[in-house]
Amino acid sequence: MTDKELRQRLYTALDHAAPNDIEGVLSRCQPRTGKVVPISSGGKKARKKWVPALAAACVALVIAGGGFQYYMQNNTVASIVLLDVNPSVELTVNQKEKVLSATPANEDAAVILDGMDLRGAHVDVAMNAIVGSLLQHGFVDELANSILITVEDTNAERGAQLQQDLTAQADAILSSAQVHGAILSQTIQDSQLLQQQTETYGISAGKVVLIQTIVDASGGLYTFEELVGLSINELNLLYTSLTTQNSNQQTQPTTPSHTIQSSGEASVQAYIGTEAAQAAAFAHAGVSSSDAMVLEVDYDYENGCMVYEIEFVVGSVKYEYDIDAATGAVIKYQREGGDTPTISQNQTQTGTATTEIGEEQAKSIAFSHAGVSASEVSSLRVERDLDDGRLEYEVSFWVGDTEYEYTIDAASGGVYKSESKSHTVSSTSDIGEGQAKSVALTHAGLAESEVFDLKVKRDVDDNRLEYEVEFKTSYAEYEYKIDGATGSILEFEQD
Amino acid sequence: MLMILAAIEEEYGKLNTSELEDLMQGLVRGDQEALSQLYHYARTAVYGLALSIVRNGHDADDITQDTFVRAWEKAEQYRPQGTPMAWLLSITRNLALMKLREQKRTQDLPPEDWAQFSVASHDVTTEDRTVLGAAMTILSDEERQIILLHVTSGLKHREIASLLELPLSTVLSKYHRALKKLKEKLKGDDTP
Repeated sequence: MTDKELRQRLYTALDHAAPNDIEGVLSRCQPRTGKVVPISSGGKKARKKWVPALAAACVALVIAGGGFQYYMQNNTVASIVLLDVNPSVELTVNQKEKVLSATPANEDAAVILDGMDLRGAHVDVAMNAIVGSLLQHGFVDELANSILITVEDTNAERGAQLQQDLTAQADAILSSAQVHGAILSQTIQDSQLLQQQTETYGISAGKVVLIQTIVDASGGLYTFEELVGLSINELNLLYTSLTTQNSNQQTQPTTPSHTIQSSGEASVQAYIGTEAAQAAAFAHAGVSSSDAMVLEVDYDYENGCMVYEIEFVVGSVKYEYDIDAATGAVIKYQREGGDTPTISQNQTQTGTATTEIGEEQAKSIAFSHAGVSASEVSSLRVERDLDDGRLEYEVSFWVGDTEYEYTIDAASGGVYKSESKSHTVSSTSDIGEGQAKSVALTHAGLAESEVFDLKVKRDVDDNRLEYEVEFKTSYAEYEYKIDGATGSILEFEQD
Repeated sequence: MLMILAAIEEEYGKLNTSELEDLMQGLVRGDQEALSQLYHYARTAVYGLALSIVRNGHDADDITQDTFVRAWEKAEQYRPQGTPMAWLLSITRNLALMKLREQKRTQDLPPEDWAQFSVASHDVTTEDRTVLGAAMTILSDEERQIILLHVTSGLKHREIASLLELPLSTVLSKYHRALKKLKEKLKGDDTP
């Protein structure tokens, strides 16, 4: 069976096995129209209506029996609580911290509040119900776990206390649901000043302040418009990244006039992770991780997507990469200093740990175990690999038509695995590794000095001697399968 | 560019990134027809990745459906600069890993147990069961995920490396090792 036939067979099996139930999917995905209702049509206008309504109500109550003060305590808006994930909910709260109204500020929030009557409930209870609904509807999960809590109150002390209480409450609910949440919280004085931005962008006053804080702290790196489409989780990552850059403290004012409290860590599970991002940058630069000294890895926002910004040095060369945080694609890179990099097989495979036996010793152990001498051996390959946290050398070589494969523990020199296999080869002709390499490079139109990570592997498939040749350039990876007897190209793949 | 796979791609029907981007925009607009097209194009790759992680046909079915529902709900978070397929498969991977964590079903299944955890579809032939059984039992987790992704998703090795958070060199070597192991296993099984 050829590689191609095997791949086809696997694909066919999976295609047969995969569910074909689009109706089942569609039944869970209702059609949508639009995404955000301008916030001005929700909470803000509703609040302005309090003035005539209150006036009329007050007059009536005073006439009825002098209960004016009681009425004011219970029915006057003391604080406004804004909750943002993507759903954006506005709660108005009286002095006794009872909810006077709960308003959805976008369509997602309407889903969250559907069927709930929170009026008269203590704000803690309302917070509990809303966060529970956010979890139940999947708006807060392992992929995006950030919530922004904003308290608007003219009494700064009362607002700060409420902010603290609500943050603790939300934290407790998320913990009890075993979700690692990340909460940003802040207190603002007067959201009316932000009305133009909330109406222009259709976002809450809390999100406006958060974005403005990030813009101010970035020192001109971002504009408000650039960040307005980001989720709270993405904004949390940027905010954390910026504040960590400015200081190692977890929580700190980024502008003299505004403080954002941060607890928990924003989820990065929708992203590839810093390790993979570094690996992508190293692969693109054609350097090995052991040679690179990483200076900095941060989240950034570039050309409309979240990126990992990675800076590292190899020898006298400094590299800067922006790697797409979701896909690992290289968005931007820069290289300063040094000559054109030519990374040899040896450099990429050489380890740095002092306790390792080293390549030579690994080869010697394998040869000795196989009962062969170095002079008989051809197509020798030694790879240093990390498998299940264990460093090992994979040594493979040929003696005549027999193929040997060894796995040697890099610390102790113990033989984990040994395998030898005698092949029947239909032709005695053998072009050799050098010629196979040359055929592939000629076909690709490249000189050996223009490529890196060049590997040639001898193999026998269906009694036919073959050479697998792989190499990379800065822009592509090449894989060839060359007939070992004739030198003709059997397969070619370029990524 | 996968020249060697040109024939296979023709048979399966391949969408280019721009067409996939259009489907993603359709999802953002709430277009169910776009979701249907994406489902028919990507269901095999999504299922293949889910199965390679959870090694259970029923769970892989559930994760496949959940992936597309999640994509529908989260389409607005997709950024056009990324690859739609990689984004979709990152959702699948996260859901599958969460399922594993929930169930703590991480121990290896002995070969004879594969049949009972196998797939339910009536379209699956004996030959399909043989090749899937081999992939489920003789490959390491990483080898299985790499080869099934390569076969079904159209992702490049570099993209697979990013998705699985592995170095590119590991992906390339494990891919070749997996092909070799499977060929040897199937050669033995197919011989009367």
